[in-house]
Amino acid sequence: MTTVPPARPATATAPALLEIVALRFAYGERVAVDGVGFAIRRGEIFGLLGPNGAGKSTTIRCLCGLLAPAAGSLAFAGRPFAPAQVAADRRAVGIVPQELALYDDLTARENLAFFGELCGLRGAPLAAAVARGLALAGLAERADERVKTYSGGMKRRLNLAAGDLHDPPLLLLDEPTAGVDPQSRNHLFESLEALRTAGKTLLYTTHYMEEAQRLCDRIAIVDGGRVLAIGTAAELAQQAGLPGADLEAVFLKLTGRRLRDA
Amino acid sequence: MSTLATACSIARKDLRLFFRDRTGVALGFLLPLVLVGVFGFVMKLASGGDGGMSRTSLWVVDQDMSEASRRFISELRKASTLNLKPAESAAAVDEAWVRREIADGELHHALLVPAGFAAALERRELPELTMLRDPDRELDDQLVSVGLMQAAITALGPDFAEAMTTRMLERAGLPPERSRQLTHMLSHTVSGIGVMMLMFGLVAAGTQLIREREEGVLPRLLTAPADRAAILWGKYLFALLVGALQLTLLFSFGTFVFGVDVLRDPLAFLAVSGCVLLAVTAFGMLVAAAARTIKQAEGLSTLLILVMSAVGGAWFPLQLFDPPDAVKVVMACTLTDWAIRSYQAIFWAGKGLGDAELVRNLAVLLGFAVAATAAARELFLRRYVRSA
Repeated sequence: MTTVPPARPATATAPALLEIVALRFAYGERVAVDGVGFAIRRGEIFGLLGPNGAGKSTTIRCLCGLLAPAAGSLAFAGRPFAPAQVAADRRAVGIVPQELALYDDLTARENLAFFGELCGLRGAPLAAAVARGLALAGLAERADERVKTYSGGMKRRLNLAAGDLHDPPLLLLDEPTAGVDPQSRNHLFESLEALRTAGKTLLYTTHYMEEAQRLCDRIAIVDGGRVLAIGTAAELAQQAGLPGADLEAVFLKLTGRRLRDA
Repeated sequence: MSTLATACSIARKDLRLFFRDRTGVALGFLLPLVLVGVFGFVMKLASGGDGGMSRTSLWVVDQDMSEASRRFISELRKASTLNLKPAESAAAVDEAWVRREIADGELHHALLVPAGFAAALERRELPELTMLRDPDRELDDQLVSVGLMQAAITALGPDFAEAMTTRMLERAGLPPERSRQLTHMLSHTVSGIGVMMLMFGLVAAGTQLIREREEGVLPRLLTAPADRAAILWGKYLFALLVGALQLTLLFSFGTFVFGVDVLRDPLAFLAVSGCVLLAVTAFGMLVAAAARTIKQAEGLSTLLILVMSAVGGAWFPLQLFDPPDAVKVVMACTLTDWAIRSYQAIFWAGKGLGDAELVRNLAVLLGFAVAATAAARELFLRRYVRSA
């Protein structure tokens, strides 16, 4: 049984960067997010765990502005936050989607330069951001090769760097390690920890419990569009009535063993 | 970041991606040239023979009202290649009326049988017949010529027939500024196939948007802190630039190979090309915004482009057959018809921006561009942004 780490002292008392209150979104008749609410503290890695169809991705799409919530409210650093409507609000957020959002026929440098331009960067700041992104992805030496020649892990690292290019205070990561080899996964973990050390706040979704346990300061377990439990891994184990249990056992206890196909 | 700067970034990126696909570029630019070449040479060969054409309309004005003129007109009515007008039972028309109608483009050939026709025949002189014609209808000359010959041989005897017909058609000859190696069919083919291939090319450019959604890049574009409509404008700009390059290549080919004098009136050519590009790009964007998948876009665009090309006369100038009014209305509903009419107005008819009909054609093309762009923008926002 894995020992559950305590919450990091540095973030346990930090003020909230993003507050989500009673968030609701439906695709037609199907309610995907039904009153989700939680707060993400500055500088923490916040995990959002749930089975398929639990509402994780829809929540992230509302937070990055791809979807406009039907109800509920968002606040960023204490101010109303409407990324779906306000372009300036989207500057506060970087998205690392589950799909590899890259152009295969462009080089890593060209990809980063293009996404940097979209974020309003030009000239020296753009060049600096591209260099920083290449370093974060560990791709400085292969920066001028086309992305289609990269391995899956290299693409994943570049995908992360593209999301952080404009140096947003909050990064939303939707299963960023899906399908990568252990070396690239380890590099991604180190990158994420480096980002946290640099003061970034991260919202992280994953199906890998050991990843969440290793990286996340706090975790929310969601299912059926609702938050079932929230806290550190140890607190979740307590809430589930399984003190000292690992996160996977807690997750299965809270969400059940029924197969989810959507 | 301004909308224009975002659109320029997107267009630059799309151009870079476009030119990286060398096979795609080769096909995209060479295929239209090959098609224009094939169609052009086929038309060139076809217009060299009689082509087995059907009847064409010839209006006749009898100013002599003699037994001889009536007999001649009666023989013309029997000619296998002519549809003589007015009908026997209809009221006669006068010279002023046919001149006005030809000038307005409503009629294309009219024969004046002058007073003194019978007297000339009695003196064994060649009658001074006058042919009025629309120079835009060169193929009909051959049909009219055959019909005149048939009637003249029967009514006047073989001595007069050939000399009369030859002289009349010489006098109704081509405008002096037009290249003699250029035919109506050739310039029509260059315009028609060019417009059709431009449509295919620009729909392909528009599908880049759907590809980005299918490949998962679009969410990153939509979550950037920029005006989301700029994504569509960026695609628009990219398609315009690719289209401009494609038109330049096509008309350069048409000029050097078939003698189409595209720069006879550079201002008119630029104005027509600009309006055609805007309209065709808007059509491509509309198809791309309306379709949910690349396969849908390709299927829908292929159907629409082929139908518009066939009905709008991109493959063959349907107006040569005097289509019924209902067909003319359907033709006028196609983008290809207006585009080809506009190009033909400058390449063949020698018109410029001072011509009211050409200005009307350009206004129709611009109107289509504005309407299709507005519809594409609304569909894009509804499909990609509001329901992202």
